This record gives sequence, C-alpha cells and structure tokens, in this order.
Amino acid sequence: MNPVEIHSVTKRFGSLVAVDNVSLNIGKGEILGLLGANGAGKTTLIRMLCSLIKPDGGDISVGGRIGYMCQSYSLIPELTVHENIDFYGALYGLDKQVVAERERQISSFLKLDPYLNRQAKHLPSGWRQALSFSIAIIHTPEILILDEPTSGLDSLSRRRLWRMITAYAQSGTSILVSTHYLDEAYYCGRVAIMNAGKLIALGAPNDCKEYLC
Amino acid sequence: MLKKGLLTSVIVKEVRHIFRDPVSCLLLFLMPALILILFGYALSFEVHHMNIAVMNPSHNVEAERLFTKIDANPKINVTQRIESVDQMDAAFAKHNTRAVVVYDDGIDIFVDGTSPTLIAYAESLLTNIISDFWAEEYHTDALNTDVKTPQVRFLYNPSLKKEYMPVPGLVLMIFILVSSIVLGTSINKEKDHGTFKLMRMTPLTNLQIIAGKSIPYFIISIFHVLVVYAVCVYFGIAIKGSLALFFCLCILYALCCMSLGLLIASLCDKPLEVLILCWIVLFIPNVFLSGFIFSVDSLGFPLKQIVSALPGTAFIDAFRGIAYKGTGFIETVGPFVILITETVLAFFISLIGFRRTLPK
Repeated sequence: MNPVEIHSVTKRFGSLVAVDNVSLNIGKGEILGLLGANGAGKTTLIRMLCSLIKPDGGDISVGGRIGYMCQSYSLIPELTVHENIDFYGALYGLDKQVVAERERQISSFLKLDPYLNRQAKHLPSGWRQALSFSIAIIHTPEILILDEPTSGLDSLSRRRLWRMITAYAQSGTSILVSTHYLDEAYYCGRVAIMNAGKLIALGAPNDCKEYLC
Repeated sequence: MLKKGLLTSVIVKEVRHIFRDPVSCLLLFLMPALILILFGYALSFEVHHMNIAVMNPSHNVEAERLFTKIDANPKINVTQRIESVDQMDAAFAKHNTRAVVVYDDGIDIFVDGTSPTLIAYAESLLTNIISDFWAEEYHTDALNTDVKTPQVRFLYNPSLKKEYMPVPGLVLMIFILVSSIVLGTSINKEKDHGTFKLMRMTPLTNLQIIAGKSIPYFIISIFHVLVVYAVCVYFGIAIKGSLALFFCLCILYALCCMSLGLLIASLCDKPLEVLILCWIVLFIPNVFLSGFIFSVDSLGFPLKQIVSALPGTAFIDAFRGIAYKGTGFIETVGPFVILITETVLAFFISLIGFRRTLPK
C-alpha cells in the first residue's frame, strides 16, 4: 500500500472537467513531479488530495499526515518567522517543547536562524518560501504536498528550494511537487504530466522526454 | 506637448476599467444613488407622524376641542390618553410617544429631550397649533385673559445638554467600525493570504477559526463599551436605568455588529469588497436612518417599518430608554428581541456562507 493512492478521480466545475479520470500513486520517500501548463488541473488535483475539495468521482487514499505548502505561501505577514512556526505548530496540536525542538532542527536545516525575529512581510521572497516550507514540515508529515513552490522565484532560489526538497525526501517522506517549469522534472523520481485535466504521461523523467522538451 | 492620441488611450482604458470592475461601479453609481435617495427622498427632514399623548385631568371641554384639533393635524397622532403625571414615563416608553400635552390650569407640553431633531420641531408644531386654536376660539383677540400660553418642558434632558444627543450615535458608529468592518476585512485578508487554506489543513474547524478570530475583536469591543461609559461619566451624563442592562445592551449590539461583519465577509472574497459592502449596507443606513441624525418619525411607510428593524435603530431606541429615561427591560424588550434575532440569524447565515467561500 502506497502512502498516496489516487484511483480514477474526476472533478467538474460546471461544464469544465478540471480533473478527468486521473489515477496515480506516490511511493514512500518518492518525489513525484506534477507537471502541466496553467489550468491543466494540477491545483485541483492537489486540493482534492488535501481534502480541501471533494472529488466528483473516484477514490483517494492518503496514509498519513499531510504537510501542505500553497502558491500564496500562507504566511501571516505581521508575525515573525518564529511566531509563524509557533502558531502553525500549535494548530497541529504539537507541544511547546516539540515545536521548539522542530523549529531548531528546521531552522538549522534551512539556515533560517538569522531571520527568526523578522516579520514575514519583511522577508525576501526566497526566505518566505523557506518559511512556508518549514511550516509545511513542522508536524513531520508522512506526505508533503507542494503546490508550485518555485513559481515566481529566481533561478538561484529555485535551486535552493529544490535542494531542500530532495534533502528532505531522504527522511522517507513522500513528496508531491507541482510545477510548470519543465526543467525541474529532473529533480523528481517520477513525473506525472497533465493536460486539460487528463494525465497524459507518468514515469521517470527520462521516459517522458518527449513531453519535457 | 501631449499628443491627443495618447490621452485618448488612457481615457478609453480608464472607462473600460471602470465599467468592468464591479467595485468601481458600486462606488461610482450605487453609493451616490443611495445617499441621494436617503437625503433627498426619504429624509425630507419633516416629521410625518409624531405620536403624542394627552392628559386632561379637569375634564375641561375646551381641552377636548383642542385635542381634537391637534389630532386633526396630519403630522400628529394622539395615540394615548393618560390620567395622571405618574403615567407620563410609561407613556414615553410606549408607542414611540414623543410629547405629552397636559391641559389643566395652564397648558404644558412635555417633549422627549433625547431626540435631537424632534425637539425644535415638536415644540414649534404644537405651539403653532395651540395659538391657531386660541385664534379660532376668540377670533384673534390675543389679549383675552382666557388664552393660555403653552409652557414647553424637555424631559430626560431638561437643560437640553448637547452631549446627550450624539452619544448613542457615536457608539453606534464605533461598533460598526470595530466589530463589523475591521473584523470582516481581517477575515478576508486571511482568505487573500491563503492562511485560511492552511488552517483548514490542521485539525481546526471553520467554527473554531471564526471564533478564534472574533474573540479578540469582542474583547476590544468590550474595551470600547467601557470607554463609552467613561465618556458618559466625564460629560456628566448619568445612566438613569440599570447599569447592568446598559452594559448588556452595548455588548449585545457589539455582538450583532460582529455577526453582520462575519455575514458580509462570508459573502465576499476580497477585503475591499467587505469594506465597501459594510459602508453601503451597514454604516450609511444605520447612521443616517437610525434616528441619530434624523428622527425616525420623518420617514414614511414602508421605510419607517424597514428602518425600525435596523440594529442601529433598535440600539439607539434602547440606549435612550435605558440611559436617559431609566426604562427597564420590559419596556425595551422590543429592541433586545430585534438585536438578538439579527445576531443569531446573521451568525448562522455567515456559517453557511463560509462553508461556500472557505475551502471545506
């Protein structure tokens, strides 16, 4: 049994079929890249995975806690980095000491230390991304879902974030990353390519080359 | 030199911009229309139906003729007859009575001194009717000794202290600002930042998120209630009725404003939309129509009935009653029922609205 199993899932918005009969699995410790143009159905699929919306058909089974990072970062701009981490840690029901310990680990892993007391709204965008990432992993989720984490970042910040992601996958976490940068496919173990709601390719990046260039 | 074509392009762009943006259209057309309608048509500044009570302890026949004449005036309804001065307070508390005319050895007019627009109007209207009456009775012989000149007295605010007038209206505005507008926009800011989405991924429920967000605003509202009380004390405005009832009323009104703010937030997506909607549907009607600036009596059917159901009207009525006239819970039960009903209804509708606009 894989941590994430999606069987023929469909979602319609009125006459638009946003996700059309999609099936895929994510293995333990695997990084699955979800690729496609804007409007291909990536975000809808992710929101169903996070049970933010219900599918119209099909089954989704998720075995474990989910960490989620969305396009809009979901940070509270007036709170400092430390307070943001504290806040979300508390919402996940973690003890104060556990949150403090996790914060220490994460901030040394992501090199966030110099920014801990800075308000989120004053962070450079690359660091905002790092904070958003740390909030997604604060409760040591078994499954990590990143919705276009690199969109809008410069290439250096993108590379930095991907290093975080690949390093974090070694802890055995299953990771789903959606992106519309085709070159990022090569950071992933497998890629799933979506177009107009349908899954048109699924496999190792090298096997999907015809779609990637 | 500015090229003509360049300027035209900007103008054309701006016109398209305006007509394709619902928020701009709302501000540019609906808001002025609303203000014009309110000021031009609805608030003709003239009192249409003023309810008064009369008292004739000596059963004088001349007095009955005067009362018939007063009742015949289209702007006044004699709705109550009282037998003694002791019943006057009860008369003012009921039927929206604004004045009492007493015909005994002399003529005394008691006017409710807490409604700012009404005072001068009630005074001049009633004294005019009475002097017309004497003119008819004695054929303009103004020197006749039987002519009784009315004495006008202002109840509940005998010295017509001006501080009395704006207090309830100011409280009304403060709570719409703090409890409706700021709470509503702050909720939609979270929607904007995507923090709501992430909070929904945690074990929190929508109800917990909304409660957690609302409680700090509720505490700030209580702080403002205390400030209002301090202001009353500072200006020498004593709360005549029960202090507990006064605080209950203010807190209930704050809760009502919060519920309405939540309701508006649940129907919109952007903080700016909440702000504008709060102005149009809460601030303008409640401030201009609640009897704070213009008397509710100046409104005709059906506006008067609609306006009576506004939370602001209920609040101002009950505030003037409890604080200035010393009325108890029984006499102010109407406004309390209106406020409680609106609070509960708005809250439950907002929960339904949030289920739609917040990710489930």
